[in-house]
Formats: sequence, C-alpha cells, structure tokens
Amino acid sequence: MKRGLVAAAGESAPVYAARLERMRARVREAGAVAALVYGDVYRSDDIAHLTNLCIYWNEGVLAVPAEGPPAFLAKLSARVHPWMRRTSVLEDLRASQKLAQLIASYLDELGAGPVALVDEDWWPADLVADVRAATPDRATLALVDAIREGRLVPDERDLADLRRAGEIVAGALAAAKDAEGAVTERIAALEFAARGAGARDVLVHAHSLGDGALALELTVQYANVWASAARTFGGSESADAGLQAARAALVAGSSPLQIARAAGEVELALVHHCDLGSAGDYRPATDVGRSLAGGEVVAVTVRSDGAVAGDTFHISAAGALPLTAAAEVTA
Amino acid sequence: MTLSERDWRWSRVRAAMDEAGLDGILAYAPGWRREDLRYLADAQLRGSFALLYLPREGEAAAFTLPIDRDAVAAAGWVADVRALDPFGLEEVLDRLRSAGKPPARLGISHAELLPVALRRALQDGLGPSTALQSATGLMSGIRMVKSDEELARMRHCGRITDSGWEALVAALRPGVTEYELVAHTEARLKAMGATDNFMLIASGGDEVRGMTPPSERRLRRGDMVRTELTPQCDGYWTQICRSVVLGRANEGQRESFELFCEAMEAGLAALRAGVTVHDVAKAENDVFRARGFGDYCTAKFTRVRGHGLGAHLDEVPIVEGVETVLERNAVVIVHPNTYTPLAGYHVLGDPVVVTDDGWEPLLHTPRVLFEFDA
Repeated sequence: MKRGLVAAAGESAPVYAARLERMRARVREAGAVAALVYGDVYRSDDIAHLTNLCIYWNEGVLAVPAEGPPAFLAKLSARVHPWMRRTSVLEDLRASQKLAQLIASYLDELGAGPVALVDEDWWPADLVADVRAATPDRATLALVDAIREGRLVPDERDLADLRRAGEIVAGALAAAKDAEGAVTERIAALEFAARGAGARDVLVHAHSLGDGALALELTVQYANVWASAARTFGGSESADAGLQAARAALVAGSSPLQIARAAGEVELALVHHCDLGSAGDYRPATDVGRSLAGGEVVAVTVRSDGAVAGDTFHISAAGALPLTAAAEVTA
Repeated sequence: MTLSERDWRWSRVRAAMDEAGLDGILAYAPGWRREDLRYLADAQLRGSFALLYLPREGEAAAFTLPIDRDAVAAAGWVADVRALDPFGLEEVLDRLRSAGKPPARLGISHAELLPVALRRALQDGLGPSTALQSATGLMSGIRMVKSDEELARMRHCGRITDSGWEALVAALRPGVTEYELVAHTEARLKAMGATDNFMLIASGGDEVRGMTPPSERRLRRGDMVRTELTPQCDGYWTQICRSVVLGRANEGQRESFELFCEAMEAGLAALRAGVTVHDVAKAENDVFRARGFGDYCTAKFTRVRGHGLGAHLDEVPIVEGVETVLERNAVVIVHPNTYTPLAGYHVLGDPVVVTDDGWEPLLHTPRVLFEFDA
C-alpha cells in the first residue's frame, strides 16, 4: 500500500512541465483534442510521471489536452483536492461519482474532435463503454504505450530518484540481514529502514528454505520510481552465480533471451523499472523480447532451488551498474 | 482455514447464485480488489490479476499468473489451478466450456473493473449465448457476515492493531516527521505478523481538514496527530481511528474529543443485528446536529460514519440514506470522523462484531484523547 512519504513536486515542477509538453505534442500528433490516462491505487505510475500525483486510493483519469493544463477527474471527493494540489503540479481537479459524465463534460469544454485513450486495453471495460455512451459523437483513438515508452530511459529526475531508491533497497536488505529473530522481525527491520528513508511503497516477499536460510525479494517505490533486489541469507551460490553471469550480459543491445542464456540453468526474470510496481504484468506484448537500450534501468531476479538473487541495473554500452548493491553504489 | 469453512462459503455463494439465476461466478481480482478471490480460495495473492470460477455445480478452478500459482495451490481449497494468459484467457474459456456449453448467465465479481482486453477475450470466447452480469454486490453481501474462523482472524488482527497504535504513540516527539511515524508503526505491525497496512495520517492544529498519506512535516508540541490505521493479517483487515496530542490537549481538542466520543458511543448504542447502516449513521450524526455541528456531517467535510471490514478494508458504507441491514457477525467500524472548527479534523473509531443484542469489541485500546509528553 502507498502509505509512505508523498512529497511535493517542489523544485522538480519544470520537469513535469516538460513531460506534459511532450505528451501534448503526442496528443496533437494523434489529431486528438486530449489524451485520457486511467490509473488506480495499484497502477498509476504513468499519471505520477506526468504530474507527481499519488493516487493513494480508488481510481481516476488524467486528461492531457492538446493545449492547456491537464486535469484530474475522479470519484474521490473534492475534500482531497487541496492535498492533491499541494503534492502535484495539477490545478484542475474535478470530482463526481459519475466518472464517465465528468469526462464527457470536460471533453465538451475542449470542443469537437477525437479523444485518445492511452492503453485502452487496460481500462475498465465498463468505464470505456460509459464514456463512449456519454460522448456518442466523439471518435476515440488508441494511444498505446505513449507514456511508458518515454520512461524507459529515465531522465535526470527519475535517474536521481532511482539511485536513491536503490540505496533504500540496499539499506533495507542490509537491515533485514542484520536483524535477529523470526522472519517477521527481519521484515520489520526492513520496513523500518525503507519507510524511514522515505519509501512510498514496500513490497516484500520472504520464504524460508530450511536450515535457517531465508530468501527475500524486495521492491521499493521512492517518489515515482521503483527499484528491486533479492537476497538469500544463508546460501545461494547458484542464484548468485546466475545473477553475476546475467549481469555480464546486460549491455545495450542484448536481448532478454541472450541474458537468460548467459545466466545458465536458473530461472531469470527481467522487469523494466517502469513495470516493477506491477511486476511487469501490464507490459505491452510488443515489449516482450525487445533488446535493451543504453540508459535503461532493469531489475533482474534469478531463482535457483528456492534461492534468489537480484538487483536493479542501469544499462550502458559499457555494462550494467547495479543501483541496489550498496558497496558499488557508494563506489 | 478448514475445508468445512470453504464448503460453508461456497454453499452460501451457490445459494445466492440460485436466487440470482446464475450458472457460475467468475471472481476477478485486480491488484487492489482481491477480496472476492481471497474469500473463495483463502490465498494471499501478489499478481496484478487472477480469476476464480465457481460453477453452480462442479469443481472450482483458479487462474493465476505464475507468481501466485503455488500460493493458491498451497491454500488447498482449489485443486484445479491453471495458468492465466491475460491476452487470451484460453484456460479460462476452456474451463467455462468444459460442461459442453458455456454458462448461459455468468456473474462476474468486480465486473466494473474488468479491463477491456479481458472482457473482450471473455465475451468473444463465450459467444452471444452467454450473458455477463456483475456479481460484485452479490459477493459483498455474502462476505458481510463472518464465520467463526473469520472472526478468529479478525480478533487476532485487532490485537495487532492495538499494538500498532501503541507503537505510533511511543514514537511521538517534536521534530519527528509524519513518514517516520509511519515507519515505526509499520515495523511493529510487521514484527507481529501483519501482511499489509493502509494508513492515513494528519498532524497539526485546527487547520487540518482531512486525512492523507504522510508528508515530511515535522511534529510540533501541541499538534494533534490523527490516524486511521488499518492492518491486514491473514487476509483480514481491522482498523483503529485515534487522535493523540503531543503535549497537553487544549480546550478545543478536549471539546472536540467529547463530541466525537459521544457520537461514536451513540452509533454503537444503536448497533445490533437487524438495524440498518442508516440507523447507525443517524445516531452518530444526531449528536453533531444536537450540538450545532450538523453541517460537518455532510459530504463537504466527511465521507462516511464508518464502514464494514473483512477481506476488504472498506466494505458496506455507514451513511444516512442507505438501508443495508447489518446482520449478526457483520464487522463494522463506527467512526464519526470529520472536520469541525473545534480542533480541525478529528478521528475516533473502533471496529466491532455485530451481535444479536449489540456488539463485541475487536480492540482494547482505550477510547480517550491521548496525550503524550515526550
């Protein structure tokens, strides 16, 4: 749950202004009067990327018009609008229990022309049907992966946050390693370290392997980015070896298949930082098998006989720099 | 949980299917609404989506992403656990058609959240002879009444909730940030075995208008810290709403607490099996109205006067005008949380089990305005 620190955009406001301007250009290029982006408490990173808005509960739609400021349309009560204004770059916030009608009224203000639904396949089907029914004379266009593709190679703001997220992950795993007692005590130490360092969300999965060994997988959201790592306390030679072999293959131009082959006889998962909040489950089908580009940030997790090893890496032509391995980050 | 618990739940769902004329229910579990699948499979999910099919007759089947396969199988309630391909739903369609023909009327819980891609695959694969309809209300109605095994889990979660509140109070001191308070609370909850937590917080004086995620704001002496703390343990959520003053409470804060305590106690006094949520909300709001604060019970200042708890953290809303009947063994939190000019937003609430002649508390935290002098 997103119950950790939510900070205002502050000095980063120009970054969001630039991202929104790029989105407006996409809207104009598509010939639409606006793009609509759906988000909910579980999956709202695209909206956060454009506005620094944290949807901490329920669902909503971000409207980015071809010209002018964006608007957030949601069922959430207007009582939370002051907080949303304080913590995001949004000024235009609208609330109604009838979300489709709210969207239709907003679009009416923009005049005639098609509206683009970003990643429509993942919108609730009922909401799409309601929007179409409420805007019978307006064509809808598909805009696929229009925001995520701009996040693949993080800009300076996101890269700085990813480095911080990596430090938090490394620190939290170190705290778990140092903690004594039951598994729950290790998880408590991990949560305390991560939340106390400003993590917004913490996803942790632990499983005991017997003989006191413990596999821990940790994914942390800091600001609007995510980093992930996995460690096995008490023996993970094959998983560690697989991760090291995979890391050697993590260079710009390498494909997921090449990386998996390099890792050897282990199970390997490669998830882009953009997709970590939902473990890659919403990744577009066209993205599967795509070769890595320089500057991207990916999380690699290796599993072998129950043991896990993993880190989040910044990819360059020269190789992969781990963001979640404390010593190397410091170096 | 036991297999007899599973059979009890499934029999209730199937009886509701009979009444609604459904041939089966497909429980859809997106990342933020997993409660129906949890209820039918007793499994803790991690994936972004999963489905479970419970036919009116025959075996149930679950469809999961790889990350959840072992958890659903290990829970032991559903023997038929299959892979979920969200782009095609082949396994789901195969199971739905396995009786020789697809169900004529299929209920979908959380149909309102079913994505375009899944709805299209389902409708195209089943054809026009299958009518799809929402079963969200049907499932939430069934989940409202808890079994003894569910209540045992919620009582356990109540004890963890009490402890989480104690951890928050113990961490109070001038200079600590709101998000650091959350870290202290979270660590205690996790140490005690909580699997998740939803938490809203607000600190400051009478300018505070509502509850939000934590900020970088540092506490000052005289601040009132309010929290809705909602841990999840073994799939069940409980909640505590309390306010604590860092230092000695001022007159407005005390007067505010008295108002909220009276309203909460009025709501609890109205509570027993057979009353409606309207009855409870009205009892709370009448206290505000009698003291001239009726305007602060409206949507401009507040959302609900409490709500149901269980496999979801925000079940039946307690509001005036809603005539949902609260049955024996429903679990609700009564919280008259709202803003007033007395001391800003104030929260106070306890979760209880509805009984024939009243209620049973799930918490043991004192119902007082806490004052903590660090």
